[in-house]
Amino acid sequence: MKRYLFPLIQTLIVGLVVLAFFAISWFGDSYRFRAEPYDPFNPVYGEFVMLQYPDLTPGAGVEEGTVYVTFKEGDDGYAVIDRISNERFLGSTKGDYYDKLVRVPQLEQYYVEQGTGKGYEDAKDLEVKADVAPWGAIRPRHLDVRSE
Amino acid sequence: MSWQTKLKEWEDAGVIDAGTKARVFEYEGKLKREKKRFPLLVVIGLIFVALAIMSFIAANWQAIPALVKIGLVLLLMWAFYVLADVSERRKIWSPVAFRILGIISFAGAIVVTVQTFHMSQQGTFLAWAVLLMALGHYFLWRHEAYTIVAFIAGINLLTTAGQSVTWLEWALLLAVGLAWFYFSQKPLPQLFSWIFLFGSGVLLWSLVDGYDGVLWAIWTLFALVPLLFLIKDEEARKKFVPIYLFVGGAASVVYLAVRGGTEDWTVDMSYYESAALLLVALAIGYVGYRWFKPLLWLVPLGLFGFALYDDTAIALAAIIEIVAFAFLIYSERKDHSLVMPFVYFIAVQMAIYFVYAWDRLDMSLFFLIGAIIVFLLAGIAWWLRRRREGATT
Repeated sequence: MKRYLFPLIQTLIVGLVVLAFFAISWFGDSYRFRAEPYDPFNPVYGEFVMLQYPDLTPGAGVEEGTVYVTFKEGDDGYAVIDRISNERFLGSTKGDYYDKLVRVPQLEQYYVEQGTGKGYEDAKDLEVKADVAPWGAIRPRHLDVRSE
Repeated sequence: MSWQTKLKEWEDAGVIDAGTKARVFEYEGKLKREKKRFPLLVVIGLIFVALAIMSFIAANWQAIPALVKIGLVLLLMWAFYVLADVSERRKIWSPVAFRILGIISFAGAIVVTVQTFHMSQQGTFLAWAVLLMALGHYFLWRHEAYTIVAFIAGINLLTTAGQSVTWLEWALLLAVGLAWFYFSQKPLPQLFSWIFLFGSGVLLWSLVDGYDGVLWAIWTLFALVPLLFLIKDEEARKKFVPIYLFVGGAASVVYLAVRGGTEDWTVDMSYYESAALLLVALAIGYVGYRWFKPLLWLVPLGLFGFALYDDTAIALAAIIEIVAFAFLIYSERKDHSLVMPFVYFIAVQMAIYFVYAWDRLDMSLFFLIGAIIVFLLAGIAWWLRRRREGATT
């Protein structure tokens, strides 16, 4: 069975990664994030929109650099920061705080159908639906133009 | 000129007869059939083609359901392994190439998965997975082509891990590098794992809190010396030593260029660190004296800790100049290859010239004198070569 040992292991690894993503939705909470595009896509890695989140602004007392955050639903239905700290805490998501905004790597790029990236970039007002797991992992599920 | 043309020329000139020529052709033909070498370029070409296909497909597949997409790439991966199996049993094509395509498909499957779930590709997961699988392939089948894949994944891993490496990840890097080095015992995989270990060693210094020094390159090089004892074959050990000299030489020129070229030197330095470096260099010198003579050439690097305090960088330049000259003379006397000593010697002269002449000379004068120096050095090289050829004939 030595000949097929590696394809077997490799299939299992991919399977585990897929499972980890689905688990985020099974155990996590859904949020809507207000988003806006900020950078052109990179055709080498496939077409995606780089996103930043204007609502994710930390309060005072947080230093720039690595931060850990949790989210809650704001009054207008869009997610805002619930708790933020420079120290890791249970259930938090790791992000970077600089230039007034918290940037969460797991929410930063959204892959879109070939040819549609420009449309999202021009629309400017976007929203992302994402599931956040109790262990801090995030799975973006849907990107849409925001209608307010 | 190819050897075939040369043979024809010799035959025409009457140096060899037709029979000799025919025998040479027959011998070379047999040799070629015996050592069917694996075309490295073909492997690299295949890697790029496969990557391009993966990326193209991934970009256009948004309409297909996530799991189907991932399943299709996995299917492709299995197809390559089945083809590898078939080609191995029937002794046709190349099983190694198919398995490499299998590994690349595996990487493709992860990329597709990550894109499907809109994850950032900045993590080290992909590089780790490919590195470990490629090494697994190597240790199962012992074909060096797999270590090329492992090496590419390893370099990718080091660059993506970069500044954000954690202690746990660093320990894993070290463990994998050491296992790779120790269990391969072949020159090419050991060279790859050595470079991988050197890169991992360099990452350590961004991990250590409060270390802002610049001696980390020398520390890392010194720390890798004990690796020589992990090479089981005596001859292979001796052949591995020049790598240390090469990296040490390159590092010395970089130190000189940076120190000499920096006006306001604000680097954190301590006499303790410099003294410790010198002590370790002496220990390396002992190892060199007992077991690997060429390692003695690394000892002067131990003085760099102190030499870097000097703002004019003259001490540094003097050490390097003396070592480069002594190394050249020594290699000439001992009848060793002069390529490395001479390249190093020229690099040192050029570094020193740039450091001390760039700001002081008019641009045209700078290039004129630079050209004269290069001309003189080339003259010395020519003279040395002539002397050597004269000695052998």
